[in-house]
Amino acid sequence: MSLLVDKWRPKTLDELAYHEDLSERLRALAQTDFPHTLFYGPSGAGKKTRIMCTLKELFGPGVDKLRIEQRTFLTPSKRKIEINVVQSNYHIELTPSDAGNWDRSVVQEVLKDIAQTQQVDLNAKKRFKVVIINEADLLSRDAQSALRRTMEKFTANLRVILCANSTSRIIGPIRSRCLLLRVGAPSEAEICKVLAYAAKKERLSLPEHVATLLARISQGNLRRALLSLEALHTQDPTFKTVSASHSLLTGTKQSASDLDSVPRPDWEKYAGRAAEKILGEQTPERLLEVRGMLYELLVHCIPAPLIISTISKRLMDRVDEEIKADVVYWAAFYEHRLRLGSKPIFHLEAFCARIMSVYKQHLLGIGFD
Amino acid sequence: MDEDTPQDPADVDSTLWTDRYRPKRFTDLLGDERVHRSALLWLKEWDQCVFKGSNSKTSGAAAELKRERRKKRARDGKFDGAADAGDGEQAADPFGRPHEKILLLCGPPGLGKTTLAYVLARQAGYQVLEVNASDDRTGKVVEDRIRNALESRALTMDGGMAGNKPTCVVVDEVDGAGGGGESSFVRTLVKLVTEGSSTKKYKGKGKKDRPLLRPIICICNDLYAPVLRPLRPLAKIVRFSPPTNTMLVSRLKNICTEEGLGADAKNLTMLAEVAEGDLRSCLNTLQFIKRRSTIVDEAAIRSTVVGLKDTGTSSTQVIERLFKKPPRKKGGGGTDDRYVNRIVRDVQTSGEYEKISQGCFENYLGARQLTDTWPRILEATDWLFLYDRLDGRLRSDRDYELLAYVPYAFVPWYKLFSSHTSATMEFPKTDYEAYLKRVAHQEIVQTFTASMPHALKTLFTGPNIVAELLPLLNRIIAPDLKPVNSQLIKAEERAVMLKLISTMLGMKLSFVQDKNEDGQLTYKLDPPIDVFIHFDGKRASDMAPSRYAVRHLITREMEAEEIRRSQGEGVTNNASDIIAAYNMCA
Repeated sequence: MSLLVDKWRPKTLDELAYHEDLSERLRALAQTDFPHTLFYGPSGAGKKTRIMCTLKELFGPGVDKLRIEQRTFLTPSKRKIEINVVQSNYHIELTPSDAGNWDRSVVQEVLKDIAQTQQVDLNAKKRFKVVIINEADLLSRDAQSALRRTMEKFTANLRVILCANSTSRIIGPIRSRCLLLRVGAPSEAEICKVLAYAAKKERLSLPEHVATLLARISQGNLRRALLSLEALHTQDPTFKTVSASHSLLTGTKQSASDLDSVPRPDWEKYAGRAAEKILGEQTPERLLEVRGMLYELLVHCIPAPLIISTISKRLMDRVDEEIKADVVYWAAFYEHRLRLGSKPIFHLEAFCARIMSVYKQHLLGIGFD
Repeated sequence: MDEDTPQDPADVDSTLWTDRYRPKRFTDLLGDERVHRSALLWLKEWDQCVFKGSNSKTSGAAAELKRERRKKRARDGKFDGAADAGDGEQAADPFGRPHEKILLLCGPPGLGKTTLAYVLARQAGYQVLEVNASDDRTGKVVEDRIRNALESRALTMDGGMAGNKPTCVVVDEVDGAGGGGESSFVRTLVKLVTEGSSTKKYKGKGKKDRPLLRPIICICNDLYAPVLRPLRPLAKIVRFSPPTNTMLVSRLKNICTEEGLGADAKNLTMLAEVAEGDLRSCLNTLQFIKRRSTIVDEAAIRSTVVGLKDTGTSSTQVIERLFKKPPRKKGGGGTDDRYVNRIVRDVQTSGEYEKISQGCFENYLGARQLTDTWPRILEATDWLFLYDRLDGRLRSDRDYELLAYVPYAFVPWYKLFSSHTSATMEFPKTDYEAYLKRVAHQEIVQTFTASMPHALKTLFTGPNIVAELLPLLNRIIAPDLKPVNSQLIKAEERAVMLKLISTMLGMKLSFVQDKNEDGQLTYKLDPPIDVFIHFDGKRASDMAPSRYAVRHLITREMEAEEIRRSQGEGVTNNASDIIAAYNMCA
């Protein structure tokens, strides 16, 4: 019925495969009065899974009975916005960034709504309800400010669990009200372990080198590793296309075709092709070609910062040691501009132009000015 | 003007030079003769409708005959739509009117568009009714006025005033007619034109359904003003371009001689250049100079044209000017170092900063650069960043004080990329197209997310859906199946298919039958999340092409499975059960 990622997802803290000390701490917290928490860590590290496990520890199996509700909110300017809310009897899960600029009204209304009603279920283990806020780092400043007072005022009825990729965009007052829990990315070995576990459950034979390769290309993103495993298995049930001597496994210098022969999302391959084009020739005409590719990526709803980081990662694999530092510097430089501005294509192209210029100078052996 | 003592009342008369030297005849007109002639030709096409039938109109028999003919046509079904007669049916217009019922003259101000309209009307024997921006131009008022004017001829004819001329309506400054909606001026005009062409409506004999039988000339500066959009397809469009400097200067010279104003060709050329070919502003300037001195010199021109024309430069023009240096002036003084103010003024009058930025962005790589390619490009991107930053602040924080700086972000482009060669500028549209596509793709994602199972909804949020789930999911739902009869399928393939079906049902994905361009039947994924594995219009290379037979098979299996589920039997994993159930369904 469901995908591999979801099928063998741990449901309790005991089943979690890695970060045992964190699981232990969560279990201890769930016994006592649970504080507001902020889970942070890279994408695919298992934040959400841990949150759900913690909820289960707090409230028991009742949290698995999920339902989806569509809620309508009225913004101050009388505009109606609809947002999907996943909830159980004990918790409610919001992704306020879905509401764009109106995330503040969503946060205010939902929180007040919940905060002012008490737990209905008399058999509930805890007297409070939990609000999970996804993508908390994408909350606008207004919304975060709206959150801070509510968090203090209604502690009797309400606990907030924030889930974010990084704490840098969470305002200080919120951070100080929360218990910060970092969920680090699993190591390669840990991912391999999980992959092997899932494969065993699914009764498919997963060669060790394939698991390692999947772990390596997923870059610490377990969710992606599992999805890739399933995708690869669907296309190639015996995993015969992945050779044990793949350059990513042996650690030798990788050629362009090697990097493309592993199962990656299409946009990532496409971004890789754009990077190859940058290195292939450095002329305005080529830049124009690259621009077309950048547009194509943006059209496919790939966020611009992700494009920059993907392209620069690919560049890092391919360029000489001397200019690696420059690539990173400029990637950071233009991503900064990207976040300041509002027209991503300008800055993506500027980044590519800069790299072309730097690379050309490097090829010609001219120093930098 | 400290003292106001006219020396000679005849000399300082009240008429403007622009009126005094307004061309009276067709041959007096200045500018491209071909343009004038094409406009005249259009007006002449009306002759058949306006003049030929004029004497027969008095007799009822002829009108009857005409109506009969119209009825017949209507029966033939040729004219039953409200649509205008097509090209081939031009001659078949029941009233002998030209195919386009409206003439649209467009061009920058001061080139003599209004003058042309008047001259043409006179030449062709009409009297002119002018409707311009100074009049009340709501839809209702205009409808009454124009209709009365256009239809008044029959009355005057009846009154026996044979010398009275038919009316030609000249709508001046039509692009200034604001207001959208149903009752706007332009819409009323369009209604006026299209209504009459439908002969079926005419049979209704309602007063409002009378067809348009007189020419209408519209005049505008900006052909692409949004208000004109409904009008453009109906109109014959005649574009004006400024007359050549030599023509302009010789005409100015004649006028100066006549007025006793000393002027040499060089200064008049300068005047013409400053005015950008605007004859009216040249004449006004000269008349102004005449009041103070009897000789035109450079200082006089400089002092009078300080307040340059405040025309709205269109964004396309601005972009062109950014990338193209003006032609070098003869005889020295050709340094173009005062470009900053010029460009800022251009950009400001246009006001379409976003379009200009896009135009710059889309054209700068095509500009010819001889040296320092990369430093130039990098500098340009820096300026783009400045623009983007300012624009972002303006929008998000409403810091409108920053607006003053925005035009300066475009100035350096001139220094960096302008050249004398006329490169073809492309109208910036790539970005908008990309935007439209992105919105379409976002909608697909939204449709998909809305029907995602709960568990996945908590697992994938925001960009992860596009970046991780969708590309890989596309592969998960595309196993390598062979198109065989479902009863002959091998056990392991059966298992693969069952898994696929349950995944697809879980995700609420399905295949819907469709026809492709060649008319072949295909099955398309719905919602079409496979767009996320199509880049540059090509499907990912590592995926086997989807076969019609396979998808057909899957669809049938899915339907069978759905029926089973709705019957409450739950999922069966036993192959023989499935086959049995399938046989039942089939």
